[in-house]
Amino acid sequence: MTKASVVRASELIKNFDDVRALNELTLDIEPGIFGLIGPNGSGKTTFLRILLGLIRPNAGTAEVLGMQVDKESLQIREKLGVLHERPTYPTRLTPLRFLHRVRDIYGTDKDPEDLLELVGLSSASHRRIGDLSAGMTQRLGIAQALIGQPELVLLDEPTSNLDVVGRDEIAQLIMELHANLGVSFIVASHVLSELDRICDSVAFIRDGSVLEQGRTLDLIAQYTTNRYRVKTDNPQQLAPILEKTAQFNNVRIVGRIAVTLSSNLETTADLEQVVRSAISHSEIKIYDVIRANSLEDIYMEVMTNAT
Amino acid sequence: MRLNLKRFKSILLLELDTNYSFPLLEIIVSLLVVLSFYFMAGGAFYAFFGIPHLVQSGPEIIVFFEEWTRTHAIRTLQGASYDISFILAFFIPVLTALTFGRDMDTGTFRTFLSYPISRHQLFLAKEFLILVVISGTTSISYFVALLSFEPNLNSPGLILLFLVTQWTPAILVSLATILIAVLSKSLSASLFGGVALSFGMMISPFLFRSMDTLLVAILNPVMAVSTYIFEDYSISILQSLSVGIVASLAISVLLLIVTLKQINRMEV
Amino acid sequence: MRAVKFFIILGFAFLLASFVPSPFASRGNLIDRGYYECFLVNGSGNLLVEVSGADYRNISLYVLDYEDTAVLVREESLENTTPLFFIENVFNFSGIISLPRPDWYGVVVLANIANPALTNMRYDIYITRPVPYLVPILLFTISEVLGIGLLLYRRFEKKNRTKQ
Repeated sequence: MTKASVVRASELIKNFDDVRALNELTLDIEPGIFGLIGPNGSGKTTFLRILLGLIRPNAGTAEVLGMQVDKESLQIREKLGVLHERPTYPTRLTPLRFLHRVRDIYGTDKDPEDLLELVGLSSASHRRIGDLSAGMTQRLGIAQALIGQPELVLLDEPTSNLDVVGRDEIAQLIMELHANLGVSFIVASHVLSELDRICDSVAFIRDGSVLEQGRTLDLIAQYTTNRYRVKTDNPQQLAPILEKTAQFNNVRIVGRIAVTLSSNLETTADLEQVVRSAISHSEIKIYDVIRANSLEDIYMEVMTNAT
Repeated sequence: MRLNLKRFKSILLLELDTNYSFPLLEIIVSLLVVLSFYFMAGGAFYAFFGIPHLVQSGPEIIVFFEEWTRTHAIRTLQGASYDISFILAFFIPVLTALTFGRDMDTGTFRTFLSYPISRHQLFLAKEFLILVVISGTTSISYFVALLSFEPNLNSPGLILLFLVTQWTPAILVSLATILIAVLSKSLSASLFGGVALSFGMMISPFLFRSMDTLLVAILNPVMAVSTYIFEDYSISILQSLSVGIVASLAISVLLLIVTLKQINRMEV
Repeated sequence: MRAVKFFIILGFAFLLASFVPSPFASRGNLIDRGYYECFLVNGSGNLLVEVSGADYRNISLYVLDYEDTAVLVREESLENTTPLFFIENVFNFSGIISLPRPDWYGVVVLANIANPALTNMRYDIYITRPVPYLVPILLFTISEVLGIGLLLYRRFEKKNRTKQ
């Protein structure tokens, strides 16, 4: 383990009855904002719960901030903040009172009112938690994760209940907190758009194993060189045409609006010209041709390669 | 140590805010206060005799009425304890299921255990509040009501015995209900299991009339103390009663050990 | 604020407890000349006594503490006793008798039969603990004072903080 690692997991195995949730998961996470990416049921939450000492692995070891999770769970939790997926807080308390109580447990001197303001919840600080909207509850979750002045914050699907604007705000907030307070974050999510901009490093996991891990930019360079995304109204028709074109290979349909492909052509303009000439006899419309260098593109690559 | 105590206090306050939010705590405490007074006020009130008495001499009547006031004070205490034991048999498992079963059901347990709270601390805070709110309130109300209505009861041993009868089944039932909650992680299972166990313990001495006092003292100690009083303070019954109470506490200790182990192993 | 609510509600619980129904002694009885009829009563603070002699005949009423009741029983006379309350030669009496503390008291009725031809007379008596009882009402007061005091203190503190 490098000295700077905030989390190190080695060959973690976790079984729930007959289901293997973690399959020799090995992961080394450095300080910063780390994205844990994987589909539902891939083992993200199980991994985070092991780090918190809420469940025990069947095999393997894990360390958080240099402490063993099975022996120093309490000490770890003193330095951790956590936002669970679908969090449950005492519904009849107000956010302000709840934060006061949690702060007393951590024994820190963080001002709850400041935190509520930071997460944009000061106007609702005296409302009952049970009366808050899903987005507000999520903001409260982030506030309570920060009240203990943690060194590391675990966020499990932090934007799962939020609309697009809310997601963007939470992503901004995470970046600001990291920049201003120096707090490290592990963000587990399957919503890639929010992780795209904020994560220094990411790991892709599926079926309880890490498929790929690295710095975001390195992975983009590794997986998306010569990959392009063609936005179209009819990817189903477009993909077979492009597959037959000599300059393109690895053509994949991405949802209902795009096709990705690999090509050695130098620029997007060159590529667009080839695409348009290939479809000149059809009615397919092309809207845009861009480099496929988003996290979603890497995700698709990694997952497809792993299959 | 100091930090631990401070943290324990914070956990108690968080638990109080979470599971005893306004007005639940106030309702429970008020109800137990009123019921304690109600049961105690309904006890012995008067004795009548003429002076000079046609049958007994003056000193004999004095002995009679001194015995009478004491006996009736004991009967009042006994009747009130008997009545309140049925109320407690309901409150203890329900409150335990609500504070443990519901928290496990909804995920609040997971939230709390993500803070720097040890599982033992959380368990102790919850159990402590259950016992203080139910048995503590009843005991204090009893004592105040007793001072109000039965001043001639100079039997600290008996008072202690009746107070013990409020605590031993409470500890046993609450621990058993917690164990059910921990094993099932379900509100409904802990609620029905706890209530069934509690009332089962209460009524089993009625169903099996020939039950030994020792067993009665474990299951329904108020009934065992009543037998002790009715049987003219028989030493042998007191012995069985004491052994039963100690056995009940021993079972509770055993349950405590098992429950703590289960809580430690529990995955949330 | 929770403590304020708690004390105020607890106070009302005590208030309710101070009004819970109490048993009572009610008798219509024949009393012989020279006899005392004694009711040993568990009094909690105060005692409500209603007594009347039948056919407008006179009776006397004495309320003794526990020790004096024992003296009366032993000596069969009120001579060496100091009644907490007494009223003599009346047709009837109805009132609340203040008792110094919750305890057992002797309520003694004596017939004043003027007519030498009569050997006994009939009387009616009703004794009960009047509500509210003393101890719970005291606890009600303490609880309310605590609750309201705390409320005022909090308000005062809040005002001071706002000023600062």
